[in-house]
Amino acid sequence: MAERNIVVDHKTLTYEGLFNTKDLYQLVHKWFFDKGFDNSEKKNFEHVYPTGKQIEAEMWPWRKMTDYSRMILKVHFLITNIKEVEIVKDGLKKKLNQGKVIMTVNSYHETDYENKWESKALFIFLRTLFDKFVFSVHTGKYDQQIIDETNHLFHLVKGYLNVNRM
Amino acid sequence: MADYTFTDDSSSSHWTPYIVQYKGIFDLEGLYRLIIKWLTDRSYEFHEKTYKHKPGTTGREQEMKWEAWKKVNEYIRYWFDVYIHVWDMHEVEVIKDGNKVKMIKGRIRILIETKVDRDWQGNFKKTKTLSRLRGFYDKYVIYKDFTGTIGDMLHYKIAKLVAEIKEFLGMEITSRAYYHYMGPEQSG
Repeated sequence: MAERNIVVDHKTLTYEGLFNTKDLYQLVHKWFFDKGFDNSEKKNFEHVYPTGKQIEAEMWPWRKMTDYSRMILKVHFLITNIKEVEIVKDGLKKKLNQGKVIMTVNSYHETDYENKWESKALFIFLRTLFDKFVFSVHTGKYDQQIIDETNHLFHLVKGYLNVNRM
Repeated sequence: MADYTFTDDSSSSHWTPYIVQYKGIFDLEGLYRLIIKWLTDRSYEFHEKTYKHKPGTTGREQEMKWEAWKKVNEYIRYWFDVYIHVWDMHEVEVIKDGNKVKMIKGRIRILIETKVDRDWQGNFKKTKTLSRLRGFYDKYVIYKDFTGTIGDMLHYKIAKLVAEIKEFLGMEITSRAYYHYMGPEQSG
């Protein structure tokens, strides 16, 4: 089994107000694409209630850093009480959504994701030694890279939501 | 590189399934047609493995298991497994584009998974030497194809189908950011 270390633990953003669900989702997806992440969507639930729609989505984008390590983000969106509202902006009518967005991100650093160092006990021992004494310098660097990417995504979403805040 | 499970002992490799769940009003017949057409258009052999229909106190329930396969070559075969579960089903009449249309109000859960069958004809199972040879071939010759080319292609193929399903159901969160990731529509 590949080893997975948590680098960013439950970084959460909560927002209540106006936004466009489609744009928000596309913004995040486009960011994954632009940043070279492969994306896997493990959950995509949408329920229509009398009080509004509820959306739950869980994405697991990942990106290879080296042949030995990769970064994985777990991006979870819970959007509740979504209602469609019409606003007038610069004299033009615009359809937006109103609701509550909770975005949670966990970031992981996964090593030996192809399980190449697990076929023999000696390999596992060597891997542990290398992880501890040789790669530790790089691990810190990669962890920082993961934190930076997570923060970038957060700033992007924050910026988007602020733009739409009336 | 797509998220996959590649095991030496098993003859098939699995990729992470996609799950879509929706509660509201939708066109079930249209959805069935969309998925079946999508698969048959790409030359997949389609089979309905299970069909269950149950009446219930809160509404009808339907469960379906579909599988579709396509021979790629003498060694590889692609599989699509589609599992659809609909419950709390009620037939409702809605006005769509000025016409009365019968639709379904209920909950739906769709799970789509792909897998690749290696040595589907069992040619390498005949003798121990052939079996070992197959192990070598899987591990060293086509391993990168599985984790790269084939894996990615199948992964984004499901993503495309899922995006179409979500658009059909009228779900808010749909994106086509990866839609052309594998280039124009491929024959795979």
